[in-house]
Amino acid sequence: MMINIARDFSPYPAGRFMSDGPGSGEEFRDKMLLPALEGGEHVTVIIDGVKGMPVSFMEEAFGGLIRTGRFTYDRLREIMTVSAEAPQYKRYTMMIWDFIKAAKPANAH
Amino acid sequence: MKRFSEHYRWWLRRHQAQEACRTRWSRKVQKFKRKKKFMTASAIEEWHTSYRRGRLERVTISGEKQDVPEILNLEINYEETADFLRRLRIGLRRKDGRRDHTPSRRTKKIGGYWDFARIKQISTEVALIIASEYESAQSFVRHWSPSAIDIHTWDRGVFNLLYNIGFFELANVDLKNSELVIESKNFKILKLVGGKLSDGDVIYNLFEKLCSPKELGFGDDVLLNINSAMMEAVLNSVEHAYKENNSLSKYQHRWWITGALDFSKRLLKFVVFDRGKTIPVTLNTWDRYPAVQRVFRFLGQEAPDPKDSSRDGTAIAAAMAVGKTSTKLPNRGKGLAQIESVTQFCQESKIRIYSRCGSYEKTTRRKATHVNRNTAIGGTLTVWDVRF
Repeated sequence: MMINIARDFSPYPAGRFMSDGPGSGEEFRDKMLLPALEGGEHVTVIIDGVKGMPVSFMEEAFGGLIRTGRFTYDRLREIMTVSAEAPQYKRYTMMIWDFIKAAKPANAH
Repeated sequence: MKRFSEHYRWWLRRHQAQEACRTRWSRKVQKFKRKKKFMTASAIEEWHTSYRRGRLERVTISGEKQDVPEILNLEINYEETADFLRRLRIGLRRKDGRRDHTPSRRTKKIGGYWDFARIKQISTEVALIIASEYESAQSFVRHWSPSAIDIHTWDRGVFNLLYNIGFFELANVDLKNSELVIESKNFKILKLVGGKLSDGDVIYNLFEKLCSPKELGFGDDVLLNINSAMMEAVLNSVEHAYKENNSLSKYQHRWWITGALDFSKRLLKFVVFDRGKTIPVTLNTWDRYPAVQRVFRFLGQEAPDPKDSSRDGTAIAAAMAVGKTSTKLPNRGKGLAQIESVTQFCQESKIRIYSRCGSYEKTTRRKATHVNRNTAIGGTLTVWDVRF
């Protein structure tokens, strides 16, 4: 399954939480990413075409997957790919995996 | 022959009786008093022109003319500029101050005003702060409309910058067909945009509204980085600046943004401003605050109390340092690092952050510097200067 953030969600990814405004990381995670990942298919997230990529959005959308407690870093490596064709977006794919790696489940101390 | 009314005949009889009683000396005293009154009025009151609610009027000033520094620029005249902004903010929020700006319909007198004709130079970021203060005051006070006094004597550069940023629209001064407005080919500034939430549509289109990045020789990566950095600065305002009610933010929980392009200096500028709690005040609520404390301990100091503004510059620098090194922990520090990352991706660029009484500056390929100042700017201001 492919999710193109610019086409399927918003070309203007913005805040962290839904209360921050439209196009937030929380909204993307809860409405698009989680249902797709829980469907059992391999998910490819394409980040080409977005007008900007704030870290708050990336951390909440992707790091937030770990905080739900439903996925681990290794499991996400198996079932999800983050891809970018254009060179200016490539560094963001690495940042997204860094955020996933650094995140901890919400109940972990 | 016309017959006078009974009332007028009564008044004439009374006046003639009074004149008959009056001595020559008392008539002289009366004449002197009238003359003195006239002389006093003409000596003190000067006629000024005032634009208010789209109309040009002649008014007299009965109150004090408030001093404005000749150079309003935080880079070269910080203390005077910050002090003026502080006085302006207090003046606009004070009830008396607002009444002073409203001339009476009968007398056409203005109590006092800010003498903008004295300004010789104003920077984009200061123009944004001034315009945001007036926008805020207008929304706070009903039916209030400020007056623009003696516009024709203002410096042309200052006038054009304030006109293009939308200052006169906020003051209800209609100058669309005025001869005063001159379009500059060397300088372009966008009208200020304000908001409460992180509106990607507005922020990401700001750069392209100002210019075509490719025409200036910028690649897509620069556009992407500047957009992301601006969005992160706005997010800091949305998420942290107005978290709880405080004295600074009770008037309006908003952020303001603008962009400017100066062909003569080959400089592209973006500015984000909010009047929230500021970085030094919110530092102790960060999840990365222990790391900030470690930075201060490394400097041989204790982390400052949020109420202490004497080390605000150091506090901003510590927050930036933690943001850049926080590879293991996510969340808030990373946002500041992204705001600064523009200096890595653009060949010649500079970022300046002013927050409460501190300032932080980072130029491409140079070490970051910070300064602890005496006067607060009343919020957080982030400025990106990119050379093309």
